[in-house]
Amino acid sequence: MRIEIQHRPSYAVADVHLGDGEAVISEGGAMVCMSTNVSVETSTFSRGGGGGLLKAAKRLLAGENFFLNKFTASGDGHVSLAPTLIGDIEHIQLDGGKAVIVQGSSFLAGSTGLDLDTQFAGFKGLFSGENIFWIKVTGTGDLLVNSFGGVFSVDVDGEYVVDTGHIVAYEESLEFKPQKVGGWKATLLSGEGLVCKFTGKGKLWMQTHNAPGFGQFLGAKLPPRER
Amino acid sequence: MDYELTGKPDYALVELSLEAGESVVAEPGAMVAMSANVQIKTEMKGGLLGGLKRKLAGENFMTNTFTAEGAPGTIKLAPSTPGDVEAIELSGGTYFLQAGAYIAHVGDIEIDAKFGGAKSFFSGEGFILLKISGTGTLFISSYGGLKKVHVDGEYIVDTTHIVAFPDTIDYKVEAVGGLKATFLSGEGLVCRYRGQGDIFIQTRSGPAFAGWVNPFRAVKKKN
Repeated sequence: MRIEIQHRPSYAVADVHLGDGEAVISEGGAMVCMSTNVSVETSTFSRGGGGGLLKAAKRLLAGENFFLNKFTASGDGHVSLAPTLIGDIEHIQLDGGKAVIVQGSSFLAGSTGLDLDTQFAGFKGLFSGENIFWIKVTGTGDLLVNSFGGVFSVDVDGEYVVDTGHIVAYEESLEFKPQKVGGWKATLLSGEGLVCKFTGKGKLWMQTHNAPGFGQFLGAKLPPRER
Repeated sequence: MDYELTGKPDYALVELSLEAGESVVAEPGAMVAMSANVQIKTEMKGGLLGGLKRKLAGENFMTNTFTAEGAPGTIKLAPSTPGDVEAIELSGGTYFLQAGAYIAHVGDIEIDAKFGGAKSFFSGEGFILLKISGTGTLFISSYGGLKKVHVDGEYIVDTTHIVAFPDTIDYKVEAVGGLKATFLSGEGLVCRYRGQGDIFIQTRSGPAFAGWVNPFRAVKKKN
């Protein structure tokens, strides 16, 4: 498998080149284009602690993707994958050591050598009315995560505080706890008074923009929808 | 007419220099700035029927014609989405454009709407294309990056990622994979291309973004 990320950093797209029989798993809806010798297979995953198909179907109606597609090449082929929002893509290589915990909406794709645990509980919290779920990625292979805006990483050693809406992924050697942040943000914006404090030693990937924040900015300007 | 494509690739702009008496036709809302001697005329291209068909195609059915009066003039045009722009030189040929990809044209060019094929059950949207034929310069835009793919044989593109392609290449709209893949995968309809030619693809999808924003809208209260 060879991965080329193009149109960085604003409108990144990952061109995944597959050898015969190789496959890549991506979030539903990520396929932009592909060679005709690539086949698609859809799998249902319940996220964040169950619920199964029915609950998943409800989420589908709410406009959320929760299906993973497996693209398999017969002969040399390729598939181009892109996230919904504008922004960058980061290629993380896993060597079988530390697992990487990915914020659900930041997961773009992974090679088949990776194990994706969508049941990983992590911290289940409601931030700004958005249900955050996490995917625990273990094994050896290529992982692609997407950011809303730019992506940057910090090697945490000790403690570090991040706004929840900006977390893309982190190594499992880090632990995090939500905590209250003082100041105007907590005071002015109800429900947004929580940040995440990471402790330990490991890599943390963040995005320059907060997707739920942007969604609320737009949602407030749009007419109400039917239930 | 001279043009320059500036601000590429993220926030691209079409900057045109018109000779005295020269005109450019642009979609409404595309004009960013212009010299004061450039006059605007709003008209329904192709008459009422043509206009309605283009309305169906998702484009505004009025077009604006900008003419440099009495002296040379300049005009800057921008697409409605953040992304890239490209110029296509037409010499009697035909291009198909995704709704929303048209910015402007100079020369003797006709615009028509064409139903691309099967309707998508998933999105409830028909797949409609603008048919652009004639001789002149056509300016197109992408939502996100603009990717040019040379097709030689067969190739598959998600319909919402299509920007433009020439009529010299055959296409067929179809569902991807099996039924389950179509309804559950989030991959709605795809275009299967056959032949030889360059197709333009955008790296982001308008309908996908709209679908992402939708849950953030308030829910209508019941009376």
